[in-house]
Amino acid sequence: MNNFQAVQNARIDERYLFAEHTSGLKIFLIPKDTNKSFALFGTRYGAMDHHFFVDDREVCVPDGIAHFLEHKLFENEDGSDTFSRFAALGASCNAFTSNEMTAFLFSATTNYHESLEVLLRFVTAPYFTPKTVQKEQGIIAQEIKMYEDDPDYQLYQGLLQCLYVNHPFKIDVAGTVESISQITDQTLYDCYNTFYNLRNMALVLCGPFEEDKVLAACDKVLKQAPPFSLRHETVEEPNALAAREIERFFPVSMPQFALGLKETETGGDPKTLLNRVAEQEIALNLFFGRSSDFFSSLYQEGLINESFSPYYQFLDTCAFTLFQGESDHPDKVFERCYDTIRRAKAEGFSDEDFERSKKAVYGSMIQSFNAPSEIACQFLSMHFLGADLFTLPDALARVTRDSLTRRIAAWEEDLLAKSIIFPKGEPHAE
Amino acid sequence: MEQMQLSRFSFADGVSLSQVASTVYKTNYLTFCFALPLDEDTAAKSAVLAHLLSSSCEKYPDVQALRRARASLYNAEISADVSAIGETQILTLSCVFLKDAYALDGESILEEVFALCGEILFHPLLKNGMFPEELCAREKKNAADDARATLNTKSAYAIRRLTETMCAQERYAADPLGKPARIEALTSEELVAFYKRLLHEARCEIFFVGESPEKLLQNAVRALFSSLERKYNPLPKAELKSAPQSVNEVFETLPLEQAHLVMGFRTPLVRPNPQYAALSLCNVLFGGSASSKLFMNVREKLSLCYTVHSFPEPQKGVLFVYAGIDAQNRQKAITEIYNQLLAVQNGEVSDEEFSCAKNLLLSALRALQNTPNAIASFLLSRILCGIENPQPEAEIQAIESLTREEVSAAARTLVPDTVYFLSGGAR
Repeated sequence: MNNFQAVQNARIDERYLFAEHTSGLKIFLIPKDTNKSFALFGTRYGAMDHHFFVDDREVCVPDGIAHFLEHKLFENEDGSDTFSRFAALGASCNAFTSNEMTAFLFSATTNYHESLEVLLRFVTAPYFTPKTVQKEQGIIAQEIKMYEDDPDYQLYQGLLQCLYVNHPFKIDVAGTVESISQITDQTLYDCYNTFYNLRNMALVLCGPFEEDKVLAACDKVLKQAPPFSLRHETVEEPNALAAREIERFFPVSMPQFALGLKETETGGDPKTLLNRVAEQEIALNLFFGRSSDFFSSLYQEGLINESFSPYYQFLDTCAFTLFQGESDHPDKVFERCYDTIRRAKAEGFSDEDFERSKKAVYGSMIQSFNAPSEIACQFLSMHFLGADLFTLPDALARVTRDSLTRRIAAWEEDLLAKSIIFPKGEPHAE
Repeated sequence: MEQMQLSRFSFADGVSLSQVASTVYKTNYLTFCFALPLDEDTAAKSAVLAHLLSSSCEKYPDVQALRRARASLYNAEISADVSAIGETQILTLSCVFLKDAYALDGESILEEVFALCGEILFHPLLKNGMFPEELCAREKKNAADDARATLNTKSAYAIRRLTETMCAQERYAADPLGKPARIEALTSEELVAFYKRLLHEARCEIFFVGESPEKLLQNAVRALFSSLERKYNPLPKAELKSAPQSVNEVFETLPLEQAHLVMGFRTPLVRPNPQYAALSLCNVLFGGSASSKLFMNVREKLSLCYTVHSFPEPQKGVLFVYAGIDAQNRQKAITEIYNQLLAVQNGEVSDEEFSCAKNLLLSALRALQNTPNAIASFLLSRILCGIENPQPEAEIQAIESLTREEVSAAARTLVPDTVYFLSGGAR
């Protein structure tokens, strides 16, 4: 029986319905009384999954293959175009690949359930040939070149190389022109058959979907998936940086920096993970947010501008805080960041700052439950980490002065790395 | 579909409030848009003023005090920025903040945010009638850095350079972020004079999308503007130019991996001309979506690029095509882009292509209601070109009734003006 179960969170006035389809696919439906619907069909498979075992057979695949596979699933055996199939229904589709997941999506203002059927159908019907693989290599090579010129992307990739010695989180999602040239239709099928198992996937729907029609679309398209088991190569990540810094030169207007504070405390159950996320968000707001002493003093001194922002990036097996911005003196920003971490541990924080930051993070969190696309994406990421997004507000409410103090005590200023891009080359007319 | 519930109120000369009731988001959206004719001087001054206003005010004289006030309002996002619509410069103060229902202590976040906006807009930090020197110097640098930062996104930089070369003799060439050299040369006196001009002479359009007690905002806006002596000058229409006899070609270089091709076309079809609807559908069909002719042919068939798209400037009568390509494929890409335009002009459009494009455009208009800032920008762009009561439903009807011939006729108005190419050797 496919009975949807309701899960409610009164604090944020949200609820979702959950069911496991007979095929093995988990379905999460977040009802919204709007005329816009958003659907996300994802697999827990990303750039990180480059070394794994299939029935004890060891498989090592070229960098960039998860992203390449995402592109290729848009190809259909009958030659029809996936974008046009959606457009005929008035829906727009897209997809994205990250280090840890791949997801396919559409948004629509009519024909929600018909669009859902198209989504389920194209993702579950792989069709790769040597010719179509070759065609895509040209397109993705241009995408890779776009990233090679993108300072934000390069800063981030540079930072990951500093932060991680072994962890596959450092693998470039797009790969290189060289690595994607090694991809064949066969390697694509290997990855597809391993990771696009419905039991390793989830469907998140946000909008005016109807439960019965959702199940009917699934019944129509999805077949029962075989049991899913996967063994990854295990990696040991040392409690140290791979490198303290990386510097590069690009045609940019002023120096750009990405600092990363690596964490050594990872793992634990989903509740522990959510507590950590809630605590870290409050701590970052308090010490590095727009109303912090750090932001204020560096801004007044002209060391940072409005572009500065801290972001917490986390998976179950790794986490770090990214401080990104631009500055004429990125080394000074690094030093001040380092000092602020040290002082935060030694001196703590006032009640007033704690209350204000908690309120600010509460406000931002409520706000993140605005757009269906944002809710669905966050929901799916959390689900793949084994956690429930709708319990994050409760984790936030649980944060106390003591738990925040413990969180800050885990910061290790010597695990702060920097990736910097300096300006090079003036534009000129030929 | 339900009509959008829009109420418009006029206050002082050239000051209006547009209010749309929306329960979709957990936040309210409030924005003050000040519009002046675009030129380099206005752009530079607006850019610095936006920074000055968002970093201080009399009541909260430094960035930390102002930020703490916002943090206490549940991290209300309040920011000022500059942009252009056609040949109009816009300085916007926009706010996103929790609806009162989510306040933990029963306070009215809306009233407090509105009051804070009043402080920011009407009581800036002045000493002896001037912006303090230190503040001025810092925010001039921030504004100049912002303007220079366009270089960091190469596609945006290429499109800016095309605009500057193609429209060199027109207001439209001015970068709304200002020219760094011009920004750096501004004095505090000039900025104070500009601030006063903005309050007294600019067209001011205020938008609120969300939930508010009846008349609260009307009364608040009236009170805010009651003491101002306004002398509003209506905004001029953007200049429409035709393309030159032969296409201009511009080549520039930077140390880059990828090359950037931007083509600029002219058209006489602009809002509020009813035929603009045909041009906007023509754009979706030509290069405005992932099922467009450019995407299907330049990308999918010829594998020349990852990104290719077209987009019109509805007030100015220009349409741009952008593609990120390999430098050696420049001519191949240009030829194919012209071929695809010719196909649309000749009506070589299948039933499927035509209905896909129509559905996508209709869907985008129907989806507007779900996003408060999209509603506000929809309204602003229509109101500024003289459409008094803009309704997505009216545009939906106009697009539904478009024929293939009307779309081809709109395509035939597009004439190439300038082709810009940014390429680089190895880094």
